[in-house]
Amino acid sequence: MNIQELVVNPKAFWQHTHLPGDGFQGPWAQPIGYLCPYLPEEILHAAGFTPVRVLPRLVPLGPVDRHLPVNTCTLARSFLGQVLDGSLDHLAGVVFTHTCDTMQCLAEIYRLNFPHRLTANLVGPVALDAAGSRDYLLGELRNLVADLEGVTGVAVTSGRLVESIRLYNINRDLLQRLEENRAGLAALDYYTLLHAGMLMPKEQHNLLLQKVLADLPVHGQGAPRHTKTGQTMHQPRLLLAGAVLTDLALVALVEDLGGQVVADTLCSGTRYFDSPVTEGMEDPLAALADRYLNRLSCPAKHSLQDRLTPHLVDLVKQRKADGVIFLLDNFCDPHSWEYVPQAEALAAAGIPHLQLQVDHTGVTGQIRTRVQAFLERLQGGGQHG
Amino acid sequence: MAELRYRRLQTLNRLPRLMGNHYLAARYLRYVRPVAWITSGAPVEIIRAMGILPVYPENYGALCGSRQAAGTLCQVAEARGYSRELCSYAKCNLGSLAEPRQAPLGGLPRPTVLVACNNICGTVTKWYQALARDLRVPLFLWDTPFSPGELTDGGVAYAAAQLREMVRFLERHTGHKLHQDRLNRVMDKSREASRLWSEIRLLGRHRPSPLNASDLFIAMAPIVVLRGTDQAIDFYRELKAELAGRVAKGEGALPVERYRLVWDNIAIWHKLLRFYGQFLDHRACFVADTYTGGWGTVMEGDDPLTALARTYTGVFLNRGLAYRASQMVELVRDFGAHGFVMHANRSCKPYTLFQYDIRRMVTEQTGVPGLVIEADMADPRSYAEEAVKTRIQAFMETLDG
Repeated sequence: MNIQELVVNPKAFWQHTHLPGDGFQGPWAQPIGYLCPYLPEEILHAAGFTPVRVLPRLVPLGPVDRHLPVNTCTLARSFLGQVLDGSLDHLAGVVFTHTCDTMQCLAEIYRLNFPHRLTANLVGPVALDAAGSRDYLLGELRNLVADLEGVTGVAVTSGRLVESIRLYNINRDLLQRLEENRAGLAALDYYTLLHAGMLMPKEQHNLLLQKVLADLPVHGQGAPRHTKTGQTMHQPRLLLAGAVLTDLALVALVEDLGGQVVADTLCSGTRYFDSPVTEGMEDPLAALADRYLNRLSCPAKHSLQDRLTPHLVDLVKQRKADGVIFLLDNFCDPHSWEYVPQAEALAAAGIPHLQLQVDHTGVTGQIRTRVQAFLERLQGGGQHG
Repeated sequence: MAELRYRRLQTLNRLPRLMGNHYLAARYLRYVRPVAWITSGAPVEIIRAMGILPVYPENYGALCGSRQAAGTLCQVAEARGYSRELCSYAKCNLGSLAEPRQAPLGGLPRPTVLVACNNICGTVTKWYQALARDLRVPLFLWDTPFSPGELTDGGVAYAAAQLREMVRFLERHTGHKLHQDRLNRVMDKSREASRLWSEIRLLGRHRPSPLNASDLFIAMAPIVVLRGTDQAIDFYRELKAELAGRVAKGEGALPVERYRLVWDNIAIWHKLLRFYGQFLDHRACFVADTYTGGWGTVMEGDDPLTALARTYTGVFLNRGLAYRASQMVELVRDFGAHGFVMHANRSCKPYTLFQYDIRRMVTEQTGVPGLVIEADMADPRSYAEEAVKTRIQAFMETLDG
């Protein structure tokens, strides 16, 4: 099984323990699912599991309608669809985090409908710099540790946590290096590698990344494209903004149509691996809490200073992007809210953008046409999508 | 016309003046007193005790809905980029800022500060962030952790720690101080109003019920907006007396009460009489609801800030599915209901997303059927008149069967 197949069918990968690459070192600890990267994976790892992220997949959603209304985000509906069609049977359980109203409800629906499956819920703070938020979060992390210890009988010691933090920091560092050299990879390959890492053991993913990085041209720009008459084409440089990339075909489409993805602020992109955990702190849980509170935040969180919009505008300038494509789930409230100030800040800075509504239907003809029109506009030096 | 057969409560006639005075006071007193825009689940007791005028954009959203202004105001907000799928209360408020001439009352008086509490939803976090940006007004977000099970000591301690910070925030931005004795007095009044409100809601257990949920939706404005004042206490004493009079005479809200139903979710403000009138045609009375119970919890505990923290963190919308289902089961049993109707409210995800599971659990545990109606609390564009009518007709036939 290669990593493309892994991303399409994670269950088959775990059932047959066929690991991508040639460094099979299993068997690995049993996989346990999570949805939101605010969950410190290190805790699950130190508890004796392999944390794997449940990413949206194209599965039948009819049975989901018995639990969730149609105006629920693709991430939630696809998760429940995968639970109901058995795609997640290989998981030991699912650990939720309170990110938004939908995740809060989804956790409850799962807990009540599947009472015999392992589940836990980290209700962390929304107000990241509120009085008492760090103490409260630390208490909740300790409760999560105790819940997991109660299930597994494995003590989550400081030593185990320190080892897990080290492993995950190495992964973050490798992903950071890969991101900085993403020009050497097609966008589809970059995001496939990134998503694969959320689905396979980090020990294995680190080996894979080291191999890929060794073969990559440092700061490569990729081969320039040419028109039929042999002239070099201007490939518009694009930043992707939004939550979880629901369909990898979207990034393939952007590059197939002549764009070049040079950066992102996606929840399943850069925001997955930003900010390492501080190593060497006396209490490793405190170090995990600090990353939770200080990382580049999700729109569902609140902080005294807006972190996301200035980061987006800075990143566009830093990567010399020609424009931004927002990949928005129609029913993701936090990102839909955040779109307005971000779009207005981009407009104020003279940066064109395109808003695409994406859902479980994947890449539609309308999406293709709109991306094409946006790229033509950027190639023609136009402003605003 | 169904509404003509409906026995209107005389006390409700006082409401237009009572609420009108509230809005009028905010409009003119803002020149001499600071104004806070606050969410319906925010600790108004502290705001009042500090002499700050509370104004409720959610209540304003309901007003926009009932005055048929919500569709237009939502579209104003959507033209700026806010999605059609986002909360209609929020978009009414944001739309009224952009187009005050199209807004009831010309919009709300401008705030000095914003105070949002996320015990009702995550939307208020984003809504109030947008207000803070647009109005350039300081925002305090009170983060009250969701409780899947029982409230945790850690969660209550976190909420209480923030309340102390909130007081400092309000003092810094308004120049007003919090005096303990004044807070105690306001909290006593708040407790008294909540107690009366709770007793009023319980009167629906009588057969026939002296009130219908649509009465409660109209009568709830003071418990939300005037909590902690003498006006709220006076109003609810009078309302309770009128209802007790009906009970003594054996008089119901409906001339003939054949079916007793429980309502779940926020009212459909833009169709209040027309929608609930369809049930009157079937002699069906909504004897209880989950929504108006949100303000019926009486605060307990010696330390005021901890009592506030515990009460506001524990509101039903901040609780898990099992709690919410058990609450519905209790209402169905205690009020002798024959069925229940759930409003799948497009604007309100935390209220709506696990309704299908709650419906199944309540029916399994009580044996009574439930109906889900898709609509929106304020925006009429999400209301399919004929489809709703057909579903109600079919549901009532199952009760007849």
